[in-house]
Amino acid sequence: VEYDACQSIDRAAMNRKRRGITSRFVPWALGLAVAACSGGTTDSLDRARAEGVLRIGYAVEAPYAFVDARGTVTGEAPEVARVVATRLGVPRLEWRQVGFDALIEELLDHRFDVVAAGLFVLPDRARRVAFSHPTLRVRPALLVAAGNPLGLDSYPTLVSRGVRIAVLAGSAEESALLRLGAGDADLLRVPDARSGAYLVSSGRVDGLALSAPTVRFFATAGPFTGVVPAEPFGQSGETPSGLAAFGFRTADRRLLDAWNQELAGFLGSAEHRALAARFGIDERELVLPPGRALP
Amino acid sequence: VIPRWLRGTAAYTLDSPRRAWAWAAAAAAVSTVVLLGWLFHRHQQLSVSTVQAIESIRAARIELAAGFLHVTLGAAGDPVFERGQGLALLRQAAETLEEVLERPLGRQDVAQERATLLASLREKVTALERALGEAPGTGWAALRLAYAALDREAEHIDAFGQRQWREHAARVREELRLALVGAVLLLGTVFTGLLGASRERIRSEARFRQLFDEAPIGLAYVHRDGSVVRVNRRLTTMLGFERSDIPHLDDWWSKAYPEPIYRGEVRAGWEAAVATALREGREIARGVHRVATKQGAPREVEIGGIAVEDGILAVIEDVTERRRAEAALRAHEALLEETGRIAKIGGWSFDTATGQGDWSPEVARIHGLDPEAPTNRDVGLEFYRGDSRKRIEEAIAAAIERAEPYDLELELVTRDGERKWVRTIGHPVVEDGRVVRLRGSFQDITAIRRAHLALRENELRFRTLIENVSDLITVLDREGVVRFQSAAIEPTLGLRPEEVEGRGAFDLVHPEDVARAREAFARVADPDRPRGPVELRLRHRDGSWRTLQAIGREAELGELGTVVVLNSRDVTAQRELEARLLHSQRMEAVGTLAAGVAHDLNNILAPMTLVSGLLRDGLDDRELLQYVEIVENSARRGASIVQQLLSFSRAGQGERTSVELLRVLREMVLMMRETFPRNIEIVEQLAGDAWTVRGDATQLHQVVMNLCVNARDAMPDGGRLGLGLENCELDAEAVSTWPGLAPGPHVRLVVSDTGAGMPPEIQARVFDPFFTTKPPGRGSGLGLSVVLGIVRKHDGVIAIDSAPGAGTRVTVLLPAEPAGAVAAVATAEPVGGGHGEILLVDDEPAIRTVAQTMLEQAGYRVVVAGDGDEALARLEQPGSAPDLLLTDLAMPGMDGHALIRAVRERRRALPIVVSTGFGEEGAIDRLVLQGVVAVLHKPYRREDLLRVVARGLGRGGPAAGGS
Repeated sequence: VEYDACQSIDRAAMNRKRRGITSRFVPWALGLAVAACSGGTTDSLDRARAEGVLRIGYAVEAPYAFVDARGTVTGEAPEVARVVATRLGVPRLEWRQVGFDALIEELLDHRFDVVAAGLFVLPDRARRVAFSHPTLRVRPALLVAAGNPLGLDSYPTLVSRGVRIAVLAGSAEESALLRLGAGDADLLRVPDARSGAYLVSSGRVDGLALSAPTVRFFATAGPFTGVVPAEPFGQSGETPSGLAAFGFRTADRRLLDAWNQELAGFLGSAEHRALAARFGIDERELVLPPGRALP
Repeated sequence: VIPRWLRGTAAYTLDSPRRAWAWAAAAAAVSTVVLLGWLFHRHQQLSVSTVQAIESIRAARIELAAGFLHVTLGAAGDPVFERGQGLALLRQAAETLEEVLERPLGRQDVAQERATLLASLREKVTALERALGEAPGTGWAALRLAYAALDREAEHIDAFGQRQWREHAARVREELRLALVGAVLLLGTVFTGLLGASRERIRSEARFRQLFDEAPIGLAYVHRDGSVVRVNRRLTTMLGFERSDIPHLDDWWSKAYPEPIYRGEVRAGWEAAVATALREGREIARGVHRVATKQGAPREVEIGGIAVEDGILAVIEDVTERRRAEAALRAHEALLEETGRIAKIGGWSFDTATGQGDWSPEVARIHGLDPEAPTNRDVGLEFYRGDSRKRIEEAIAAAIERAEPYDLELELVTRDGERKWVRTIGHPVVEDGRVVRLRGSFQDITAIRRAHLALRENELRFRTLIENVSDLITVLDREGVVRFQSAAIEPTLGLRPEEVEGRGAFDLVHPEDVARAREAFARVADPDRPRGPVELRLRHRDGSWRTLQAIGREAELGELGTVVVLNSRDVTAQRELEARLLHSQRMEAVGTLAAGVAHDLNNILAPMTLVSGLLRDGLDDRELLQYVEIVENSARRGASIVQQLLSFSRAGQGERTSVELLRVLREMVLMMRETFPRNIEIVEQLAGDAWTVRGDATQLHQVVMNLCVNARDAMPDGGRLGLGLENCELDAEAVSTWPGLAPGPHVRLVVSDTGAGMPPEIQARVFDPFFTTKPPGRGSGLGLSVVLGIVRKHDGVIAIDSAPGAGTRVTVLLPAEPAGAVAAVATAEPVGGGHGEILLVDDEPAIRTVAQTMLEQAGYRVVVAGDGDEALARLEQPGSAPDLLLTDLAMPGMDGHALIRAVRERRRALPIVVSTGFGEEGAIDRLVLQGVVAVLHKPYRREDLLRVVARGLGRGGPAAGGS
């Protein structure tokens, strides 16, 4: 192009033609170069099928995902993932435990391929990762000391009352509270739900803001006594329900599609319902594929 | 409309080398990008995987620590730590470390180290698992140790990963440095090229500007808004306007077009054309404008234009001179056509490949064609017929094939059927060694040719006259040099005209005549002096001299100026003839004299002869008989001399028969061999087929005898005597110098000797009677005279060729007799008596008496008469019935001829015999016609008389007799 520009003496017609050639040619060459640079963008589905292993990241938040006493990873999301992975023809799963707030970063860093941690679908997250078909629709909830001595009944109330609330770092609840105007001093970010529940039970915070299944789990099956869900909670509807789903890198389009396809065949099935029930999840919290209804 | 040189300037801006360079640069740039891309891609992969590995190791070490914390604190009963979670983290960390080591991180040479690390790791993990398997609270120390070992191992792996990363980073740095150097070099090359291209562009623009300025045609670049961007030098030179004078077109219009109405028209047309040109990218067609220069001088210019980018490149050409020249050319062409029409001449040309051609109007008019109509070679050719067509086609073919020009005069038939003569000149035009065109001139030369033909005919007529005049026409200049000589010189002097032309006229003249010739030549120029013909001798090529009679006249002859025209005539033969005639006349006179004397002597001798015969018969006395014999012999000798005289004077006319000269000569040879001295060698050259001649055998015998005897006498000391005989055919020319000789077959008799020869003065006299060179008593002086007489009587000629000391050669030419005639020689016949009556007429009483006596003694009855009248009287007497008439011719009163005619009227059948002592020319033939049966020459002997008479009476042989 530079050269062509030199030959500017009333050769407009020829120049137009030459520029046409160059303008078509140069992007093509650059595109080739960029393609060469970006290199091996193979879908993770192919790699998982080829290697027979799929890496799944999780954060400990019962009942979505947690580890039993022998160190085995379990929970609603890991168990559904096990079913889907088997159906996809991937025999082995490798588990990566990370903090909840590191899930998306580690996914994008290719440390694992799928997030199976009851991750809520949020606009901020949806811009960075692709979500599968949601598996659960859960309401926000609050774990409080038995009897709800402060009478906390909604997130706006928490913010307006200026109570001390523990939140899971990077969780949807944290985002919601911050959005509602909660100050940093009011929020105690904890690495996992268990730490939050302990803080509530020990009276160090006034509540733990989490989704309903987790709150229920700690109130019923947790190691700590004296904690209960705040009831009633969120009836005014200021805080909408959250949708939990599997997270994928946006590039792994085919993995996501295959995952959704298998998920659609599984969600709402008796097996699925039994699995959910095992982790204390109400059937009303299940999200079914279009056209499928609970019996 | 756009000049070629201007179109050409655009073509060079992107020539092929630079185009190739452009492609090479683009290819290099793409290669660089691809190479860098590939390097980037490779290092990105390596970097990502290495960083991931290091990150994984780091995460694993943290998980290891967190897991250990969970396990230990969970086991200790802390509510927020959980042993299961710790176990998961520890396993996860171990898995991560294993995975890092299993990956092909780093170069191949570290594989061993990696394997060792992996084995060690697994050992430590196993130990940890074992420690964990023990009941919580028990074996803390073992767990502590296992964990510490695993942590140390993780540290080793971390260090390994860090080292790999450093090495990789160094490699990347190195490769990137190399790539950078390469890219810099490449970019340098590209920029150098760009710089060069840019400089080239600057140069190109400079060239273009120079081209613009120096273009041999006025140029102005005018922006579409009317501003004049640039004008070139040529335009300034042409019209005086600088760009500063006409910064805008408005200035141009007002300055260059001072006349408002014209300016308005032109401007409107121009602006419309510019609008169209800019819109459609078309050219502005050229038009002629009348403009004024800066100084106000009127010029005619041709203005056109081209739309270039957002303006007009106006092209201005000064056509003032050209239009003036065109006008002059048109006038010139008109003049040419007019003169061509007057001279009936024009030009033509045609292309040899296509035949297409053109010709000037006059050429078309000569053909009777429309001058406007197109033409070609075939059109031009179809007007020729026959030979002209053939010649023009051959000439054209030769011109095309061999580049030969031609110049032909040809006849053509115009379209109107008129015949014309034309001169066409063709010249080939050669390009690259090949004839591409023929061109030439074409002229109607009918009138010229007609005049030329008339002139030539005239000239031919005069030339023919000159060439065919037997006279020599000679033109001499004032110096006497021959400038022209007619062809008649060749038969006359044996020279060709060109051998004479350019030579002095007096070179050929006989030395004795030169003075006279010069005097005559001088006289020609002098009008006061008489100018009669002059006779000169000139040398023939063969060395002989010819006599020419010349008369000269002064004349003006074209470029030769004043010349002398000589008219000469060969009078050699005439002069010779005259000489011979003179001689003949002299001989004739002598002959006549001799004949008269001989006649008288014969009349005297005849009685003596006859009487002595009678006396001898009647005498017994011996002594008397001796006397009688003396008388008789003397008389006979006298008769012999008379006979010779008569022979010379041709009076002695013998009878003619067919004579075979060959036999005569052979007999002569025999005789000579017997009688001639031995020291004389006789050489004979006798043609066996020699023709016969009509003549007197005896006389011819004498001719040969006389000549041979003369030859013998010329060689007293011996020598060679030649005798020749041959046939020869003489034409008119050959006989022209011989009076009396007729053309036809002849026999040539040659007698030659090797004797003393004769000087010319003697030769001139040898034929005179009684002239002799012999000593007294040796010759009568009549020998050659007799020979001459006999030869002439036989219609022949004689010539003598002699010189002192060179011998003599006598040539005799005699007319030959047609073949088949029977030759005869004189033979003696028996003499006998007879009976019958004979009428004898003679005015000489003595002869009459003697003859009567002889006849009567022989038994005849004889009636005599003295003259014609008496003879007739005798004849008419009653009872007179003579059987034969014997009469003299020369008689007083009625002569023999008259008598014969009279007798024929009365007695047609009567045989007549004539006796005569006088040989008359032609007389014998006439007599034979009148029925004369025989002629008796006086003096005759008794035997002759009786024999002739007997023959006349029908008892003898041929009707000839005498001696």
